[in-house]
Amino acid sequence: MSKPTRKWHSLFEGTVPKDHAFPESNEDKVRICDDEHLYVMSDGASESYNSALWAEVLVESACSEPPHSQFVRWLKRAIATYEDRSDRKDMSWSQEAAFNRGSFASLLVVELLRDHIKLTSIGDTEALLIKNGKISQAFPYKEAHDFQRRPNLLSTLLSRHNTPYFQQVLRSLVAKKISCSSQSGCKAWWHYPSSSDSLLLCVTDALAEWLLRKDGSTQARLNKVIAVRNQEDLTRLVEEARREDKMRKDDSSLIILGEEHATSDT
Amino acid sequence: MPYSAEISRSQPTAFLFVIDQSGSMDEKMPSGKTKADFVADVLNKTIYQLTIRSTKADGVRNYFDLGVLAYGGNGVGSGFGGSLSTSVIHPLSAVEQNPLRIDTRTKRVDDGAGGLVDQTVKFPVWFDPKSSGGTPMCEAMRQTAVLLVDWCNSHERSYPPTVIHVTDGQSTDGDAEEIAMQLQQISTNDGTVLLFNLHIDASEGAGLIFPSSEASLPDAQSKMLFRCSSQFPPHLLKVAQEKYPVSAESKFFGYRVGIEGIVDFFDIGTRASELR
Repeated sequence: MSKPTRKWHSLFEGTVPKDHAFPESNEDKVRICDDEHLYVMSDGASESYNSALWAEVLVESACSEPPHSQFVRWLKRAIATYEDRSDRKDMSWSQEAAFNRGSFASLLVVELLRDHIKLTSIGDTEALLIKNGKISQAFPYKEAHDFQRRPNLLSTLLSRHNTPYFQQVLRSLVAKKISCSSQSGCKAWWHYPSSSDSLLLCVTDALAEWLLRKDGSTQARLNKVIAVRNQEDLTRLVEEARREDKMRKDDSSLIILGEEHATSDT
Repeated sequence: MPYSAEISRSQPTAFLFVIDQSGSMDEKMPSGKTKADFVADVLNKTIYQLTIRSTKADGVRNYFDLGVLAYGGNGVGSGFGGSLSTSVIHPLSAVEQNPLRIDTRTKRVDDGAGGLVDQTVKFPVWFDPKSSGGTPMCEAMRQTAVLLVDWCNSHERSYPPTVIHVTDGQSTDGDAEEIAMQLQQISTNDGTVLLFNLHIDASEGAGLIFPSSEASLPDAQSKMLFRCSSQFPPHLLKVAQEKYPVSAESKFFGYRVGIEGIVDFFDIGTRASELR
């Protein structure tokens, strides 16, 4: 991977579980790899057998090799890893049935290349580019209401990818330029912003939907998020929004990338 | 806003199936199965689906309490057999661990490479078909109310219980309307108990599902079941609209519903909003 000329790195990385009584059930997984040039986030779907493991396998696999032209081979290998780590012989009847129904998770991969930022997304995990304190780019979704749709997620069942959406994903990943629709995502390339205080946020769906909502508090919400620099800040922010019934109660994860000198001044 | 409480392990909801096991349930449907056989099959599949949707690698999560109350010639009591028969409502994990038996079935599934392969699946059975005697619907509704008052008192913050009542006939112990109406006054802080009535019939066609008026219903019994059925909570309205022309005025009621309608009724009626 050709590295960027300007050094971006993680200013913050954290997560708040949907249920504080069961923090171990958090199904969001995050990895930062390749000397902070590769950022991977996956959000396991609540209603699946072991989406925490599937999300973990996906971020590991994307860290080893981002899913590009050899997507099907990449996916098959990830499914094999998931199956190897699932102890099938000791499953109860319901675990076996739930395992056969599959596990599902999103995937967002952010690669910091020399001249641009490359984004690959399957599902509803979001990247936001912040310039001059405002959202200048959003990917894969543009609007809060996009999150109401049922997302296309990566599954541990290979047959679940025989859909028009995943055919589009395949074409997009192989293509040299963006070929997916802006609504469904797949792949995007962003130029590095010229201003040195720009930020890139990676967020899971509940937090992203809350941030993209357009009302009188849109800017105030963004200001709060870009000011987060420790876990307590994020927990406080998420808990407050949940208490006010403004944010869906879901595992909520955040990575903030910026230039090394970029600091919170909000 | 009512019917918006999250459903979680610390805040489960309840599904109570109230099943008519009177003698007329032995009538055969067009498929050759009796009404009792078919209802038992759909109920077992519904419990199976609720269970596997709540099963994770670390075990079954108690998002739901499940109950089956059966009424017929043997009176009114738990519809579960075996070790579950001691009470009507159980946490989902207890239901998962105590089926009457586990049958083995084969189903064809997509192999992911354009073909189909046979897959052996275990199919647990909790509820066997029975049919005898009269239809003590009033007593069944009264016992349902007693159970749900207790349940709501101990789950004040939960999404309220859903009662799915399946019958093919007329009450033989009086008019069940008043007690069925009272049943729907029982509540948690998130709303009143939902009562979904399903009238089944062995004949094909000419049924009504999710009507918004009793005008086209033929008799006093069907009109009574319509009146004492709940309207759709918002999230179920959305689900039903994917297949049926329902509106906010529609009642969660089916009359002379055939095989597909019975399956849909159970399926839509047990769709929880997102589980946490």
